[in-house]
Amino acid sequence: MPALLQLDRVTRRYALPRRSLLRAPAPLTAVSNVSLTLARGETLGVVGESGSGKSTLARLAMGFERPDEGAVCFDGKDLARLSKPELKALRPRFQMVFQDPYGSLDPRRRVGWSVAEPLRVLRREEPAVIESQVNAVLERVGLRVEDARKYPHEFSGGQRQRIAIARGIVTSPDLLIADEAVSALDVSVQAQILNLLMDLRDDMGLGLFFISHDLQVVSSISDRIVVLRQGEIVDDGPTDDVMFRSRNAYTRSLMAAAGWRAARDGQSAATDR
Amino acid sequence: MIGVEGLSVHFNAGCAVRDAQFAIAPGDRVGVVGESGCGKSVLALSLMGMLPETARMSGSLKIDGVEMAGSDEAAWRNLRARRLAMIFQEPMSALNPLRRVGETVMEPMRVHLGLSRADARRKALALFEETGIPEPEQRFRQFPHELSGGQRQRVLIALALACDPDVLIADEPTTALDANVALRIITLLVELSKRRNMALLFISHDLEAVRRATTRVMIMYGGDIVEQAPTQSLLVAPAHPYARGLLATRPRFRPARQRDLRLPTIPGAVPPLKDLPIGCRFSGRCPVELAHCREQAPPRRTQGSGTVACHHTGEVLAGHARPIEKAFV
Ligand SMILES: Nc1ncnc2c1ncn2[C@@H]1O[C@H](COP(=O)(O)OP(=O)(O)OP(=O)(O)O)[C@@H](O)[C@H]1O
Ligand SMILES: Nc1ncnc2c1ncn2[C@@H]1O[C@H](COP(=O)(O)OP(=O)(O)OP(=O)(O)O)[C@@H](O)[C@H]1O
Ligand SMILES: [Mg+2]
Ligand SMILES: [Mg+2]
Repeated sequence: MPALLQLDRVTRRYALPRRSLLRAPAPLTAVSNVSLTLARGETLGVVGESGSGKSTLARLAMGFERPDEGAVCFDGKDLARLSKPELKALRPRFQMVFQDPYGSLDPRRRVGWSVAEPLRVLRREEPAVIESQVNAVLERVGLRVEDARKYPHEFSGGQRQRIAIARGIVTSPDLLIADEAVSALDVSVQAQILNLLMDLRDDMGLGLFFISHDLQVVSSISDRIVVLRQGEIVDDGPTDDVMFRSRNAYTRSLMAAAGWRAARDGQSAATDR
Repeated sequence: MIGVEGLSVHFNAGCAVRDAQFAIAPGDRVGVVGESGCGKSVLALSLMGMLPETARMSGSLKIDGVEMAGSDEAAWRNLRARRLAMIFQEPMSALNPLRRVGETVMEPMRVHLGLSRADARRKALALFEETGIPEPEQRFRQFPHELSGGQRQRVLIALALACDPDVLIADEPTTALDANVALRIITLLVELSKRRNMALLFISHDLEAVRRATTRVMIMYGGDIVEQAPTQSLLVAPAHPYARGLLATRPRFRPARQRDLRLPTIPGAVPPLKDLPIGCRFSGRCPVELAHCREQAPPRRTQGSGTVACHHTGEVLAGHARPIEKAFV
């Protein structure tokens, strides 16, 4: 069986703005020679400092952008070789939650419409079935059925982020690429969403490509972790190896930097056992 | 400098902020913490005079001793030009997608400070530098979509600092930032506050960021400020049952053997505005709820060096009432 997601020596460059008319600056290599695989039901954590290429990697994995070099395969199919309609038909099986929830929701559309959008692509379901699926998924992310009739601006930032997550899981995809999907949530709601993702993983074999700058959050959900630095994977391994016993100096510096963010136990909570 | 008394904000759906009461003096650094949807951004927008038209505000909001409740847009615009600034929660929605980010940051300096193009450019570049945006000169000419999430957030921070505000309202300013950059931003804001006596209202769900950035915290739940206290004491020994739940559910590093376990949460969810209990907003989810909590709004009482809005008295709230924490797993 092919891997759910496979990236094979993927590179992506961006042109930079000119400073003089004479010479175009060298392009910026946002993702450089990255290879990785993600199996069904597996959670891969992606960490790295701001600007290290995490979101670019996510867009490449989704086929929103083409790599300049290398190949991205979903379920054995090279995305670059698929026609537009083929890619569209495949889309419900791999979904993404964007870093900026505002960008992924149409401000003029009711939330229910936006959440249902990935379902409508399938063109199979009856409107009533779609509605009940939308309602179910809104409740799973801690929102209400009646929220489907509201517009995005009527929600708080964290509520909008959960709407984006609902949209990402409404088709019961095989793969979810979550780009800082829980970072705007307070700890309790964040834990609820992480628990939900773990349930989906265990019950339906959801594969998760989980990007976050919060190492505690990543460590609480990932099976494996890759560390990105300036577009390259510099470290890779089972979560505990990367988090607690990495020999890579950069990984260790990231962990050390994150130290200040780690919960301190002036008061040790009942859950600390 | 900012005095808020009995401030409430209503939408058609219900009450988003209820009876808020606090004061912020120059140089104060105040944190706001609370569950998603509890009213933090609405409170912040009301202090900026930027509530949506569908919102109705009541109560008193004084800035520099002048009553701002009910004042017109011109008065607010004047205040926002020089004195108040806000870092908005969602960078993408606050930046003009069609303008180079450098132009966006220079504009208020040109308009409100009357700086020449060259001076504005110099100042904007310095702010890019200070917020840790890599290759500032190059970023200056890029469009928002060409930046990473964390870079965009820093552009927004630079924009908010452009006109040297006396009050900075920062709504989740470090959400999209990795630990190093977040620390840098917090250090910058604290330093500005100390150096220029800038007041800082710091909204964040990141309790460690709040610990570093602020000296006082307000915990919100369902539109109420349920507890206010010095940061150090509140983060070590919170009193209000909700505040305790919040601290008990903080994420921690988890070794592999725990990875399949579910994370601790505060069971349930904040009800939608129209279904909020009329008494204590936390009733229905509170592990130590009393019979009258749901119907009667709790009194605001002094507790230690802060205030708590809860029907329970010191006995239950003080010390280590383990049963409260145990409820949140
Ligand atoms: N469309 C684009 N044009 C030019 N440069 C780009 C473009 N998209 C991304 N970049 C650059 O590529 C680099 C990687 O960006 P990316 O968004 O992947 O980072 P990231 O790891 O997601 O960072 P963050 O944690 O801040 O979100 C950044 O330096 C960014 O400025
Ligand atoms: N324009 C609006 N119309 C109707 N309801 C609104 C509007 N803006 C906010 N609300 C509601 O008011 C409540 C408070 O929202 P607010 O944005 O202040 O939450 P928040 O504490 O900032 O949450 P988050 O941490 O998720 O950003 C929420 O229930 C939200 O749905
Ligand atoms: Mg990103
Ligand atoms: Mg908010």
